[in-house]
Amino acid sequence: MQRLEAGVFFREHRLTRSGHSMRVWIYAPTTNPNKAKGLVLIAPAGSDCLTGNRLGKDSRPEHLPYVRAGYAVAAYDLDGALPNKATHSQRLAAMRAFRDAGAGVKNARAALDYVLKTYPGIDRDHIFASGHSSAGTVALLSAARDLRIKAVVAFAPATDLRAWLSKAELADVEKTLPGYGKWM
Amino acid sequence: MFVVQIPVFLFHAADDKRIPPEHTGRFFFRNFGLHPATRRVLVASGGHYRAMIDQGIPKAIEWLSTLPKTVLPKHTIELPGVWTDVPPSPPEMARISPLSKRQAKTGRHLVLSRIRLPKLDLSTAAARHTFANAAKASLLRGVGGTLVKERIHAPGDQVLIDFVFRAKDSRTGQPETTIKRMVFIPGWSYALSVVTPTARYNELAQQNWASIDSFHVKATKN
Repeated sequence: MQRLEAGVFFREHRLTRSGHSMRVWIYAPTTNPNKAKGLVLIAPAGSDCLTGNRLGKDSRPEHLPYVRAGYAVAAYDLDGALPNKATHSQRLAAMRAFRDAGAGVKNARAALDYVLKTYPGIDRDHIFASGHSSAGTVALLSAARDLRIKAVVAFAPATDLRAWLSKAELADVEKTLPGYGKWM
Repeated sequence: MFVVQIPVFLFHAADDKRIPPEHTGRFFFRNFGLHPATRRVLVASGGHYRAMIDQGIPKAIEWLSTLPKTVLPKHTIELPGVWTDVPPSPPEMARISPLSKRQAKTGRHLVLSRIRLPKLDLSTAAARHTFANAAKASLLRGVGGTLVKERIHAPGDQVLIDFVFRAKDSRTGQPETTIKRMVFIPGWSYALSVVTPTARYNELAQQNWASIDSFHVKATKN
């Protein structure tokens, strides 16, 4: 593992889920994640809850405090990330991919499966999910769906998308992708 | 809006303009009482992002470290059947019946009930009500007692049932209230069993004690 600072080690893993490539960033306080206090799963924040997102270096300030406190962190990409200056068809494809990934729940599950397979010594009684904003919503949804997650931390999550989006936005979403509004 | 039955730490800044704090407020209200360790922290300032970095994450790490093992669900919940402790409510009496001869023959690990839950569409209130009552009836038959207090929640595609046992502690003889929560998911079968010596179970049952050492739930997909 690569040393980022004293007591913070890092390694990027790549895996494929249903034909989609996704990255999992593993952080640990030592070179052996099995010895950490527990594992915190974190998705990247910054989307509009209708599409996914990819990890970037700006995600790190949210990851490192957990590692400094003794936890391993598994940060993972969400399906349906928007490219820069996305066209209408790219946005449509991103929304579909995010929906097909269960709003990120399947990404979280794939990341956890992979981490537990790679590092089988991780304390399974201390697996947590955390996230900020749209990723807070992903964390709550993942915790509701994956019984391996024992507690969840959500910073400023959107918990009621219908209330959050304006009527015009909802109408636009439904027009763009019929049935999406109901799925939300 | 969905519910989460495990410990939840919610954090929001009151001056968050991007996602208003009502989101965590409503979610907290909806989840209140589902787990005693669930918390919502509202800070005065910091906005949507800085509040998390400066105040939220340190508080969350502190909260995680204070979660005792007893409030975290057991490792075995990789299968979707789990008992968790929930906050106590006013005491109620429950009777535990002696085991039948057939049950007693099974030995130390007593399988009290097998519950097979069909796959159902739980999108309507009527369907959730029917499913919850079927699950409750199956479980009551299995335990073999009269449980006079229970609460049923049917959020989304699963059903939560809380049971109250009022019983004497087998060691101290003092009355105690035990509340357990069972989570049922349609499309799975549950074998509900109790681990205690058969003779001891019947002795306790005669004294109207519900001091069963531990419940085990084995879940398998239909």
